[in-house]
Formats: sequence, structure tokens, C-alpha cells
Amino acid sequence: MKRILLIDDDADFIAVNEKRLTDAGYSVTSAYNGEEGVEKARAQEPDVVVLDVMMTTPDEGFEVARKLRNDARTKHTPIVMLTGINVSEYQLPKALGDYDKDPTWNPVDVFLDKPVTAEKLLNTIAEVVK
Amino acid sequence: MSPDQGQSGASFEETPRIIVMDDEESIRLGCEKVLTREGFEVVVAADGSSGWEMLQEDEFDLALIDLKMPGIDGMNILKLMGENLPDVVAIVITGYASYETAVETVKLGAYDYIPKPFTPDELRNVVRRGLERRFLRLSNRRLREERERFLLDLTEERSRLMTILRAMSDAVLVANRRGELVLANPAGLEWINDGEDPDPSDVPEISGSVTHEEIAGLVERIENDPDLEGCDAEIETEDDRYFHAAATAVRDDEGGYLGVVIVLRDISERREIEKMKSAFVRMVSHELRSPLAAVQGYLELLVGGDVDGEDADRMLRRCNSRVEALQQMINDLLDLSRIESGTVQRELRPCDLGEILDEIVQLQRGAGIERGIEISLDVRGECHVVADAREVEEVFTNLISNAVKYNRDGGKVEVVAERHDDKVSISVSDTGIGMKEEAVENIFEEFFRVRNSETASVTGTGLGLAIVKRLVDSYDGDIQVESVPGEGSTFTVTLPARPE
Repeated sequence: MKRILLIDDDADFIAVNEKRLTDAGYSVTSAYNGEEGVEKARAQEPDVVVLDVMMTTPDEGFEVARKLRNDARTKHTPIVMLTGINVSEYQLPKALGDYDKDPTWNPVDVFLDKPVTAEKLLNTIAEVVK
Repeated sequence: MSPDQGQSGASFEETPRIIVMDDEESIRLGCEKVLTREGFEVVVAADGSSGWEMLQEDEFDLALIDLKMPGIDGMNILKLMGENLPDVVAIVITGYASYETAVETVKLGAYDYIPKPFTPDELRNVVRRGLERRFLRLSNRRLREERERFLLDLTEERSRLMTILRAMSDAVLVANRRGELVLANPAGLEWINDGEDPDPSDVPEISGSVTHEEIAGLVERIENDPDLEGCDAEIETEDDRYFHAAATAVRDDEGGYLGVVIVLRDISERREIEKMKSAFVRMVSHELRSPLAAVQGYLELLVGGDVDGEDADRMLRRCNSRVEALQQMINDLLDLSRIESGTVQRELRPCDLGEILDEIVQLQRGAGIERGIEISLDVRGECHVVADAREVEEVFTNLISNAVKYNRDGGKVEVVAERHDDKVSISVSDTGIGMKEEAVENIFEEFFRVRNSETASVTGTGLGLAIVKRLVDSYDGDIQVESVPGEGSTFTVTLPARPE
């Protein structure tokens, strides 16, 4: 069973996605802020991380992505980033700051806009866990 | 022949005026007759002294001067004229024409001479030539005066320009066609002197070329494109300031390239405001989309039908509460914007804080009871302020409802209002989850919320305390927070008391 880590500060949104993903046959763990998310990602090494951009700070999601990418355990874990804002491509490297640049991986694999339908979320996750 | 036009094209604006000085009456009369017939205005003098007086009193174009006269003689008249009236043409009348006399009179400034006796035609000719000379002298004088005025204007214009340039906070640089700097104001010098403070008394004329890479780029674009009138760029400096650089081509009438004017304007402040604005819009967008995403997700699950009754109920309640929060958020945003823009219509009246707090506490008790939270109120002394009651209610409703929301089940909320001299302080303490230091620092910022697993189920807009802070500030009040994680927080508002 593929394991998914949800990192989001919105308890309702987590509840919704837990239900969606569990129903689709995934094993789901949730974290309610970036710090907790990084800890759980390192401990559990999930197959996919679904990450919200704005949590305590507007860029907390980017900070989490950077930490995951700089850690050998989560360096190659696909990240699906959910945003309530439209992140343009040029903002991304700036927001990520310094990270161990490695051409074989992307800082973030997929961006999804909030709100997201179950169908879109499930298709995207199915795509990245392949 | 009209004297106005003259044979050689010389012309006077007024009738030429001629003075004849001779002690021989026949000469005076003869000259007067011949010259008056020519259309000139003629004045005569019988001796040098009266002649010189007349010359000084009136403006004459030409003087016919006899060398031998009583009083001041012709030679002395010539000397005086040379010193005082250099533009009046002098023609000498002499009875004993000799080469020496002629040379001497010319040395003294005479234009010509006419030996006695002379015919009317000789007189007309010599006068005509003299008047031509007079006309030339006048034109020269006019030209000279114009030129002097022009130079004066030019100097003034230049100093005016320099004053304007020096007063400008925008940097101005001027480069010639070879890309060499020819002018810069003090603000402009900062761009070429590596930030060294220029001597403000320096004449802002400098030498050198444009070395700043981005500015040089603009100059190059203009140099290389004969159709380009201007171009601009935004420059970010090493000390994180932003400048708008505009380069404008200077061309002559035929379109030939003369150089370029560069104006640099500091737009750091504007950029800062834009940044804040866009950060705010991002936050609002995020805060509006979050509840929408939750509601959309729940509704999708409910419509899918794969949810049992109890879960469905819970989801609907959550939807309801998120929609309410969304509504609240929009109200708060509008409040915030009204406070910021100062368009709130206030009704300032004496308010009894004891009464107002009592009402709020009554209303909040309902929310507390469900979770076993007790709210107590203690009012010590006369706690009266002058304020808009609705705003006071908003401040304390926010603080007391937060104290309930972020409390633990079975916790306590204590509200204490106290009078200290000319101030009233109201503290709201809870026994809730408390905050870490960095949260305390940011707690009054828009959209800042403490987010962790303990607060995840608490709804809020993140705007309440931002509104509270602005309202308290607007009454010259103060708000302080003390908090211990895991133990609780105390918010203390101080407001000026109503003068007795």
C-alpha cells in the first residue's frame, strides 16, 4: 500500500483528503504544520508528500520542500504542492532559496490549485507514485 | 530722396538730427537750409560752448563742427565727443584744409571733413556718408547690446538650470555622442563616484564615461538605434534599492545624434508598497480559498454518497462553520479597510466599560458553557472612557472570544477592568494553550494565526487582533500580551480615562 503524508494547516481540508485518499486505497498520515510535516516525512519516508504552501508563514511550504530536498531520506520523494495562490515558475527558485541542486529531481513535482477536486488529486498522485 | 531710406539703404526710425556748430552765420544758415530741404532736422550753434551743451542735452546723429570757434574750439569738441558720445558722427568744417589737420581730426574721432568753401552738393554727400556711418554705428551698438543681453541670459539660464538640477532628488546624467559624461547633478554623481558624497558646491560638470553597466546598456541601445527616442530599465542596487532609469535621446533638427539624458528615480518605496500589497493579496487569496477548498471537499464527499449519517452530519456542520467564518472574514476585511482608510464614522460618547464588559461576558458565557469554561468579570473603580461604543465592543468581544476559543476545556477566563489615574486598563486572561515568543511578536499582524494541531480546529480569520490593535491605537491606547505556552495568555488594553 502506498503511503501518503498530508501537510496542511487546515484540519477540514486534511479530513477531506484523508477520506478521499483512504477510500482510494492509500495509507494516509497527516501533519498540521511544516515542522511536524518534516519530522514525519523523515521518520516515515512516505511515497508522496502533499504539501500546502501557506501555513504559519506564507512560504512555509517552500521551506518544507527545501528541507525535504536537502535530506537524503526524502531527497527523491515526489512532492505535490497545493496552493491558494498562483505560483509562477520564477517565484519558485527564489522561494526555495539554496538547496542542493541536482538536475535529476525537481524541487516540487506538481502544483495544484486549491480547491482541488478528488479526481484531480487522485490522478495527480497516481501519476507521481508510478 | 527720402532720408528714411537713404541711397545706400541706411534707414533711421526717426528723422536724422544734425547739429551745425560754426561762428560764421552764413555757413550756419547755408547748412541749415540745404540740410532741412533734405528732410533732416537741423539745429545750429554759434560757438563751441553752446554747441557742446546742445549735444549733451539732445540726441544727435551727426555734428558738423567748425575747427575755429570761440569758446570751446572744434578740436576740444571732438575730444569731448570721443569720450562721451562715441556714436555721434563728427564731420569737421575747416577753412584751411591740410593733410596734418585732417589726420589730427581723424585721430580725435572725426569721421570726415569738408573744406570751406563747399557746394551744397559736397555738403549733401559728406552728410549722407556720415549718416551711413551713423547708421552702421547704431546697428553695431544694437548688435553688441543684444549679444551682451543674450550672453547674460545664457549665463542666467545656465545657472538656473544648475540650480534646478541640484535641487532634484532624481539623478540626472548627460552624456555626449561619444558616450562621455558631460553633466551630472549631485544625485547623479553618486552613480559615477561609487557613492562618495560629492562636494555640493562643485560645478556639476564632470568628465569620464558611463561605467555603470545597466546605464551604459541604455546609452548603447540609444547610440545604436537611430529611431529609438528613449528606453528605460529597472536597476536593483547592492543595498536593495530600486531605481527606474529612463534614457532619452537628444537629437538635432536633422535627427543627428547629440547625446543622451539619463534620469534615475528611486522607486524603492513604491516597490516596498507594491510588495506589501501583493503579499496581502496573496494572503487574502489563500485565506479565502482555504475555507472554499474545505467546503468544496466536504460537499464532493457528501454528493458522492459514500459517507455514513454521523460523518455526513459532522461534515455539514463543518461546512456551515467554514462558510460562517468566510462571511466573518469578509466582514473583518471590510472593517480593516475602513479603519485603514479612516472612513469610519465614529460617535464618541462616554462609555462605562463595566457595563459594556458585562454585556460581552454574558454573551460569551454561552460559548464557554459547552466546554466548561468559566468567565469572570471584576470591575475596580470608575472605568469610563470616551469612545465609540461599537468599537469598544468589537475590541473586547474579540479578546474575550479568543480567550474562550484558545482555552482548554474546563478552563477559566478572567476579565479585570481597573482605573489607574488617568488611564483605564482591561486585562483578559485565559488558561489556554498560550503562545511561543515568536507568535507573540507577530500576533497583531494580519492573517497571523498560531497554527498547530491544538489550534487546527479553531476557526478564525487571523484579522481579529489586527483590528483590535488598530482600534486601540486609534484611541491613543496600548495593547500588551504576555503568554506562557501551555499555561495561557493575558492581553492587557490601556485606554485614556474620561476626564472628570
